[in-house]
Amino acid sequence: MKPVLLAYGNCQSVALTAIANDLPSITDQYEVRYLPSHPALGSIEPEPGLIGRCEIVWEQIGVHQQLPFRADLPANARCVRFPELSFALLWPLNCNDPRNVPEPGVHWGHYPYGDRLALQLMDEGLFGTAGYQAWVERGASVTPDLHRLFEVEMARVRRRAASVDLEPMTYILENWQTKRLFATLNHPSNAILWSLCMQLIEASLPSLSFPDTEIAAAQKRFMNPIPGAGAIDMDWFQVVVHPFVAETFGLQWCTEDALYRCEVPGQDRQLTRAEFMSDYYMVRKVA
Amino acid sequence: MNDDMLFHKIARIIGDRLMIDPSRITRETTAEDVDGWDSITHSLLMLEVERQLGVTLATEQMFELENVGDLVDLVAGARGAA
Repeated sequence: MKPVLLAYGNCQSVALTAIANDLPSITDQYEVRYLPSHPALGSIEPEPGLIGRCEIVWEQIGVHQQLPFRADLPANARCVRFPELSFALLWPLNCNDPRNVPEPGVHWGHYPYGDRLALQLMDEGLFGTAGYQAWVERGASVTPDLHRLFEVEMARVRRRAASVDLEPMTYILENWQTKRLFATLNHPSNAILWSLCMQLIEASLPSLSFPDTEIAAAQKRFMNPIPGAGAIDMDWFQVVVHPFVAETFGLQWCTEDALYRCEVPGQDRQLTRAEFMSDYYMVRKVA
Repeated sequence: MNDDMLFHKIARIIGDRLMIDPSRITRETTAEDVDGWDSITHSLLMLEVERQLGVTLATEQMFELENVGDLVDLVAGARGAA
């Protein structure tokens, strides 16, 4: 029986597990397993004996999560801690959407990410194109101080960095204005997850070498998931960024005609910012 | 504004932000008790508290709060210092 490489954490760790499981140089030596940090992602109880077989643990640290059963790990288990990746700067108006409820086949609901201003406008009776126009016009007046938000986010990152071994935020902070690195505030893009997985492999398996073609092929598969094939895809839903935020932060990638994937039932397509708001989000619910 | 009034004001901000009934919130309520109150929501919530109450909170201390009571005390301290 092979020793276990265990990835513990949220849905981001599911993606990391998928990458590792697609690398024969790892799977030849290890059984790669995932343990959810939250019951919504599956049983949080490890099967009997699993923890005792762990040789490597990728432990994702979150506000409410840390690896249980730590005392059961073998003494020689190597544990690399990394943070759950999240990014508030692009979506300062994010909130819970009261319309969002789990539905059959749509576990996360049709509106997994709410927009406070858009909800307020809909309460005022503004929907569709008129709603979108008002959303654009009023953004500056309701958005919190973005420079203060940046300070607060940096404090959050500093605090998080103190409790992990890997901190991918350095790369993120150097590139977030030129590249779309997050699909939603808690869904890093496939590109960031790939990069994080390579860092985890380097930190936990420093002596393992890979044929160049193996890495390249796995990267290609992960970055270009085949729709409907059950592959992990963190970019399936990309929340629009308000133009006021884009302008204030100088987001080069966030142009007016940039497309956003909106793969919820009935809206499985790529939408512009205007289409996303007027055709998908700010619509009057028909009973 | 006394501490009790301040608590109720903050509970209302939390309730609005997280779409929950403010009467469910006590000084002992923790982020873990409230669905959706994760670290990122916490950042946005702190900004909303600052905006609505006209204070600037000690940034590092924002992430050391144990419960809503600690937040009330932090805001009270910031108001006192202003």
